[in-house]
Amino acid sequence: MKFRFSLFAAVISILVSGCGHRQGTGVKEPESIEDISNARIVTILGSLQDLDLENNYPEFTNLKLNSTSELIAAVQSGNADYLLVDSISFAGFDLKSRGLKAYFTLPVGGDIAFGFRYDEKELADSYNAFLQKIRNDGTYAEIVGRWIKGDVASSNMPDIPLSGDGDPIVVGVAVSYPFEFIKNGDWAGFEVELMLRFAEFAGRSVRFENYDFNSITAALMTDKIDVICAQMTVSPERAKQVLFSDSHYYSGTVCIGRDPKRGGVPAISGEDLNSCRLGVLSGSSMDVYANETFSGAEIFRADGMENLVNALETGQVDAILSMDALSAEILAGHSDFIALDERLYRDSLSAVFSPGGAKLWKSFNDMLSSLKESGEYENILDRWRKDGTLAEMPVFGVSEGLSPLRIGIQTGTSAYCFERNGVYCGFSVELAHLFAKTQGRPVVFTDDTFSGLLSKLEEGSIDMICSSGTLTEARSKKLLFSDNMLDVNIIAITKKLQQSSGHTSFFSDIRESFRTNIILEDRWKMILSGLWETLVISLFSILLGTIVGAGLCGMRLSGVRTLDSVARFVIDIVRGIPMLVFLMIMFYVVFASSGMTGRWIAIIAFAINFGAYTSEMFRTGIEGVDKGQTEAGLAMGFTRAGTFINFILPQAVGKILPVYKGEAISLIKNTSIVGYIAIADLTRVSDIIRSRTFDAFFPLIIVSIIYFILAWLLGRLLDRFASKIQL
Amino acid sequence: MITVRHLSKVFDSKGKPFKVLRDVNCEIGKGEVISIIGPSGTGKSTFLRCINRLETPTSGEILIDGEDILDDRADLPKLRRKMGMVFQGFNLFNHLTILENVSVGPVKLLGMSRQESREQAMELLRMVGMAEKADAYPADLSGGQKQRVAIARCLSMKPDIILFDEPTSALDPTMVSEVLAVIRQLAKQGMTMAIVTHEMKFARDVSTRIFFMNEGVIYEEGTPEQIFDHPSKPATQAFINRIRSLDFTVMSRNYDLYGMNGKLEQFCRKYSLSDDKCTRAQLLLEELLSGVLPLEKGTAHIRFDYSEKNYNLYLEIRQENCAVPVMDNATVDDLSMKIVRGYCDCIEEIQEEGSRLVTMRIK
Repeated sequence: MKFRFSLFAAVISILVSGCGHRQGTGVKEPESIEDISNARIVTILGSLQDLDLENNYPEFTNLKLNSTSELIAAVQSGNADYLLVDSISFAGFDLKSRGLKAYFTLPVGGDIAFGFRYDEKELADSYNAFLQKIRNDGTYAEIVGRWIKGDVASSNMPDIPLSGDGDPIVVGVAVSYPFEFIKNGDWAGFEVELMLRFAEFAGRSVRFENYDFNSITAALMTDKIDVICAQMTVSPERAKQVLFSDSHYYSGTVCIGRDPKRGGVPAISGEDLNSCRLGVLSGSSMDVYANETFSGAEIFRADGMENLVNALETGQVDAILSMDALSAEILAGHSDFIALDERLYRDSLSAVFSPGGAKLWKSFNDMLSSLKESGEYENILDRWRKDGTLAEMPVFGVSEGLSPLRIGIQTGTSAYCFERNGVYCGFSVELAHLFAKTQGRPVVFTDDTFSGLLSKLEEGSIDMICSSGTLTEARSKKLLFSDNMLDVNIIAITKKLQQSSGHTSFFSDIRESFRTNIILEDRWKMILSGLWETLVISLFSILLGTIVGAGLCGMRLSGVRTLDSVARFVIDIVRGIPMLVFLMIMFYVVFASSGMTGRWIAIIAFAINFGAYTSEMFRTGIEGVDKGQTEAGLAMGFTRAGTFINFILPQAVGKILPVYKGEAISLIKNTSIVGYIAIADLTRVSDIIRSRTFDAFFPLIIVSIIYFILAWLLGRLLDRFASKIQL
Repeated sequence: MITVRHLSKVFDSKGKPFKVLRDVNCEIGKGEVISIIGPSGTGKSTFLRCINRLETPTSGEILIDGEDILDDRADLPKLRRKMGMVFQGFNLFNHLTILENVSVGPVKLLGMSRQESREQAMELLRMVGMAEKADAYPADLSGGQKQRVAIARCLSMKPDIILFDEPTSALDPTMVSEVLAVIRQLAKQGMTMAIVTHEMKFARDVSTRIFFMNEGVIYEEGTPEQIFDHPSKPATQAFINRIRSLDFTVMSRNYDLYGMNGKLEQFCRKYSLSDDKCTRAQLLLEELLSGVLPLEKGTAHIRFDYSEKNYNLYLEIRQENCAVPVMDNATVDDLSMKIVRGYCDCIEEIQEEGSRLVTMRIK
């Protein structure tokens, strides 16, 4: 058993690690719908965006899914490139932290309204009157402020007292953040608040039932619900079946794709910097800053950026500090690296001179200020910023005569100072050339690490350093620093989470996912209630289904031709229809007006299905018992029934149980489709959580583990039962 | 105790009615041990299974202590409790231990307490020599052991009569005697029994009466002495003497001697006749066909009969439409006759409705 569990764990971890995010292509960012014509686009089935694509861009690849959370999962996992969705769906949602980015908006949009039945016109009129009222008295603006314009994550439902009298308004809800979602175990969101306030206005109570968006219209048509509250956009097609209220919101469309710069989640966050192994350039201002600010961090000092990069790559450090301009280079070369968003501090780069070089120092400062005044400085900086290491390096003529100016530089990966085809290039190199030109002296460059350059400067083997020297107090006492040569932001670079091989980050990720998906807003309670629903439906279906199976089996074995044919017909029909379709037919057609709850309809549908499959097992099991056993029982004087119960059944059960067990387990798993008829079972609950956290993987994995445990427990239970009655 | 009148049973085999039992009449009294013998497929087992209604007869009457078991109102389970049945295939309950097999009936049907039934079961198992295996399951036993347990299971219901349906047919020859010994013992104790069997010696020793069944009727019945020593009817005689036959029909002189010799050799080998006897039979056949028999007069039916009881091989020739003697025919030369007489003895010839019937015993 241990082996089985570890195998399972291994499979799960492969799944998780396989969920890495694809790196963006890095091509031009799309700005209009035409730019994504070759991409894989996902939309919600039947949404305005879906219809717009089908009508106007039929040649596009349009994949259709059922909910916003599925869209996000598809884009995040790389199964699709862009998603098109109502722009309000992402109100208050932090796309960046998901590695996503909103690229452009589309004028495709529509009025969002509640949907009523045509024979409930009074209710719709009453809602319209209510809407007019709250628009006038400012309540509407308050609601919009709470759920759409404001910080949705921290918004809570206000307390709306409802009278419990009278028929409740049965509200069909399809989860759609931030219009309707579950928060702390209760329905919350823009439309939910509107609905509750309307109920208060109308003096009625409310009962919410969670449907799939695709089946919600059918639910309205079959009187399962009184009103659709599902962020539904008014369209002429829908209006044929649904009486829409006045619009209570207008939404455009937004196109969202992966953020190529943020193709991942950092292994550590900004807060973690104080407790990690942090790499800095030794002796730089970052060194000083890190020492002061991150006293809890283990500081790793290295000469040269490439050593730091190497240290991060090999896992010697968890993060390194870098200038922002440099970081672009580093990130471009390491797809598994990622920069933390927040700027740590602002720094300036200066040229460095020895105390004896005061004259040079002064003329360098003069040159800088004249360059800045003339605007030439901006031109040079822009060129290097824009084109990076591909920027054109001007050719400087060689001045003859005077002794050469010995300038220390530190080449690296940046556009400030690097070597290209044997020529030193870059922003600071260009400045150094310009400076030599103003001095009328030729240039000799010395390339070394920063600390090496400092000691060379001290011993007088170079005249100045024109590189990424940053000003520190200790240094400024001994050396002369020029005016600000370049403003830089210092940021931290770390590895992306998914590619990290370190166990700590993997498990800390699990812990975080666990917190957001299970603990936060008491989501575990939802999972428990979903589990309960799944358990109730599974167990009752198995019990009832076994009875149905026994009945069908009895009919088949009765020897009465008509009974046999009827049973055979039922079995063939049920086995020939997909379970989901069968369930929907039971819900929307057969028991449409029965007033039975979805749970019971599901139990009946699954019981019939289970019975159809198990009846044939029973039959072969019973027929598999030797006829002589029956004869022996009869000859002893047992009645037919007595013979069957005492001798045939126990032997048949032993033969049937292994297959029966498989069928029962597959029934548990099959119940995962009951979400289609508005039952919040385990799978549905995971959908709801996913729609809220947009975390595709963790809820699915948690739920799959729970299903696995359920199946395993049921298997054990039946095994125990088998060993009791068998030989 | 059991009276059977005009019992008939028709099976429907592939749409064709097949009459297994034609008209069976008999009485079985208390304390009798009846052995039912006869060739295969003559309805012995069907007859037995009709008695306890495992088969439903097509017509007739079966009275058990005066109560008609074929009546729709008859309490079948109750009637069956009076009659135990031991099957050819044992039919022990595979999911129960030996002890449970022998105690399940008394507990569930006779209202016996668990304790009491266990004690009775152990006693019965001791009687059949199976007490040691009380906690084993049927799958752990040999055929003979299973059948002894099956007998004990029967006895546990304290039946008035036990029906044995070929109790040793499915057993290895080495296990037959242990089962027969148990049945012998029951006979000694005065148990009423009806036994369908092929064990002739056993039937003769143990029975008070023998039913010889043939073609769906009780063809002949009587004491063991009557049936085994002086059977009065031909089919009984043939059966008792365990006659095995080989038939040829020769219509003209264009007969296939080699084919016939081959079949004859096969026949002799099957019943372990000596090579000499086989050769003599072949030569005799050749001689008869080549010269002696007047084949041009009409079809000759030739039959070899071999009795497994006294190991004699007979040859019977029926020559149709033949008024003249076959053997004492002047046209046949002496040499041929001499040769024929050299191969056999006890030659008899009779005239029968225009045919000559000649029988001879091959030396």
